[in-house]
Amino acid sequence: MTAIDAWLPWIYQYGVGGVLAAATIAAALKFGALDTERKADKRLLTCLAAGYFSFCAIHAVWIFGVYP
Amino acid sequence: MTGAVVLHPLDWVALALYFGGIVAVGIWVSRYTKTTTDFFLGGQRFPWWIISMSCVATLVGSYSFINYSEVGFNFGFASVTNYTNEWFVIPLFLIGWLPVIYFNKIVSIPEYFERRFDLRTRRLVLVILLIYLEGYIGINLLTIGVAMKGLFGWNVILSATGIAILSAAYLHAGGQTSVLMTDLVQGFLLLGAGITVLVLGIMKVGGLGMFFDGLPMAHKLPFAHFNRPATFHFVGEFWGDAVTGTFAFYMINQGVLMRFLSAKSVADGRKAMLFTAAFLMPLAAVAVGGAGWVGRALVTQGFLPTDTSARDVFVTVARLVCSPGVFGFVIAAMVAALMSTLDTLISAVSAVAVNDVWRPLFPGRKDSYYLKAARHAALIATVLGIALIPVFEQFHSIYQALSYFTGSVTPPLVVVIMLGLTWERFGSKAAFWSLLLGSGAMLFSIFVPAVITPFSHGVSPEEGFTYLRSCYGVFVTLGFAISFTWLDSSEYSNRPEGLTLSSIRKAMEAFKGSALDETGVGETVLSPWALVDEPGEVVRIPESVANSLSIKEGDIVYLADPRWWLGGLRSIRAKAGVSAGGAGIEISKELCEHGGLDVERPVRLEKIL
Repeated sequence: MTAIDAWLPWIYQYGVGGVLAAATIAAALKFGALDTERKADKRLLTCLAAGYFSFCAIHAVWIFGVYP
Repeated sequence: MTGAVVLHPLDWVALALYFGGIVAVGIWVSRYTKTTTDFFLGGQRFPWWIISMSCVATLVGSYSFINYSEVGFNFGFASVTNYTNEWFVIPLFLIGWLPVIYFNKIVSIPEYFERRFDLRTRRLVLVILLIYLEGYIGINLLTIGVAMKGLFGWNVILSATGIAILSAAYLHAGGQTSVLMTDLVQGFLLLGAGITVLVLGIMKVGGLGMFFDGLPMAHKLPFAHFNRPATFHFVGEFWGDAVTGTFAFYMINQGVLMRFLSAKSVADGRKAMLFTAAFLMPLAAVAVGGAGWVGRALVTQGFLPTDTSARDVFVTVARLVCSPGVFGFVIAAMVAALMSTLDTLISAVSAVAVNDVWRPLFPGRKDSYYLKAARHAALIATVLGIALIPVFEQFHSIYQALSYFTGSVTPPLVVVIMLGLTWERFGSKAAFWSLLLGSGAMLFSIFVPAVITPFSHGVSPEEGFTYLRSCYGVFVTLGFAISFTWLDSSEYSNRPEGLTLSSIRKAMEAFKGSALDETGVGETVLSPWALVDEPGEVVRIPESVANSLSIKEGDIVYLADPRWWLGGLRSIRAKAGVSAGGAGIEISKELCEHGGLDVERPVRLEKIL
C-alpha cells in the first residue's frame, strides 16, 4: 500500500464533495435562500460547515493513525 | 451457514415479545390518526428526535446487517463509508428541498414536478417513482425471506408474506403516526443489537488489542481502495452512494420525505437531519458492519474457520457470541430493520397512489373517503411487493438486484430535482425530455455497459461498471438538461414562485398567510389553558403570554403536552389569536380532541412561524 492508496479517496471525497456542498451554499447565499444576517440561517450554516470539517478531520486523523 | 438454526426457548420469547410489542404499539397509536394529514404526515406535530430515530430505522434495511457485515468482513472499516458521507448533499436538502416541500404543502414528489414544471412531467415521475418504490418493497421482502430461509429453512415467499402482513396491519390502522412510533422502538432495537454483537465479539476475541491485531492493515482504513477491485471500490461508493444514493434517499424516497413533513416545523426537520448525519448514521454504520469486523478478527485469531462465508458472517458471529435470548433479540432486530423500512415504503406508495392517482380521478370527496383509499392502497402495495419477490429472485444476489435497480432509476430524477431547485431558467420541456432521455440512457447502459467507460475512473470493466452507472447517469442527464434549456427558454418568464432557492421566502409567507417575524421563533413557555365552546379551530393566547414569545395574531404556534417523552403524540399546530385578558390559553373543543390534549395538564406553547 502506498500513501496515494491511503489518501486519494479522502482527497477525492472532500474535494469533489466539498465543491458540491460549497456550490450549493454559494447558490443559496446568492439567491437569498440563506441570509447570514438571520440568526437561524447563520446557525444552519455553522452546523453544515462544522459537520463537513469534523468528518473531514476525523477521517484524516484516522488515515494518519493507520498510515503515518 | 452450516444449516438451519435451532432457537432456544428464550430466543422465541424475545421474538414473540418483539412482534407482539411492535404490533401493539402501532395499533395503540393509531387512535391519533383521524384525517389524511394524520395518516400521511402524522398531523405535522412531531419533534426532531422522533424524526431522526425514524430516519435511521428506515435507512437501516433488512439487507443492511447482512450486506455491510459482508463488506466489513471483506474490506474492513470501509463499510462505514456509506453512512458517513452525507455532508455533500444535505446542504441542498436542508436549505432548498425541505423548506420548498414543507412551505408549499407538497405531499408527494410528483406533485412538486407538476407545480414546478407541468402535468406530463408529473405523470412521467409518477411512473418512475411507483416502479422504484414497488421494486424497493419487493427487494426488502425478498431479503427477509432469504434470511429466514437461511436461518430456519422456511419458504422465502411465505415468511416474507407473514412479516409483510404484520407491517401492513399497523400501517393500515395508523398510517404515518404508527410508522413513526414503531420506528422509534425499532431504531433503538436495531442499533442496540448491532452494537451488542460487536461488543460481545470483541470480548470473545480477547479485547480491543486482539481485535485490532486481527485486522489486516488495509481493513483499518476508513475508505476502500480508490478503484479496485471492481466489486467494491471507493469511487463507485462515492458516486453511487454519497451523491446519488444519499440524494435519492432523502429527496426522492417519498417515505423519507413524509418523515420530514411530519416534523412540527422546518427547524425541527433540519435539526433531525443534522443529528442523524452527525451522530446516528455513524452509530448505525458501526451497528451494521461491526459483526463483519469482528468476524475477520475471529478468523485471524482462530475462533472461526478460514473458509467462513462472508455472506453469512453476521448470523455466524451472532450465533457464536450471543447467549440464548440475546440471539433472539438480534434476530428480532433484523426483522425490525425490515419492518421499519417496509412500512415506510408501503406508506409512501399509499400516499402517491391517493394523492397522484385517486384524488385527481375522484376529486371533491370527503376526507374519510381518501383515508379509506389510502388504507386500501397500503394493502395493494404490500400484495404487489410480495408478487415481485419471484422477479428479484432471478438476480445473482440481492445486492446486485438493489444496485442495478436503484442505480438505473435514480440519476435522472436526481439531476432534474437539483436543477429544478437551483436553476430558475430550467423549464418544463427541458425537465421532461431530460427525464425521458436520461432514463433511456440508463436503460441503454445496462445492455451496453461500455458507454460508461469515460466515467470509469480506471475501474476494470468485468462487473459492467455497476457502481459507476450513477456517475454516467448524472453527467448524461445533466448534458440533456443543459442542452434543452439552452435550446428552449420560452417559459422563462412564466415560472411559479416559491419552488426554487430564489423564492423560498415567498413560500414561507404563503404558508403562514402573513408577513414573517422571526422574533421568538423556537422559544417555549408553559401555560395553563381552558376549553372554549366555539366551533372550528380556535386558539386564543392571552396578551401577556403572547408578548413573552413575540406572538402576534396569525402566527403559527405549537401546543403540546408538557411530557416531552410523548414525542408530540398529544399536540396541535394552529394559527394563533391573541386576547386582551385572561389567565390562560383558550382552545376550542375540536382542536383539543384532535390533538388529544389533557385538560388536567398545562400546555407547552411554542412559536413556529
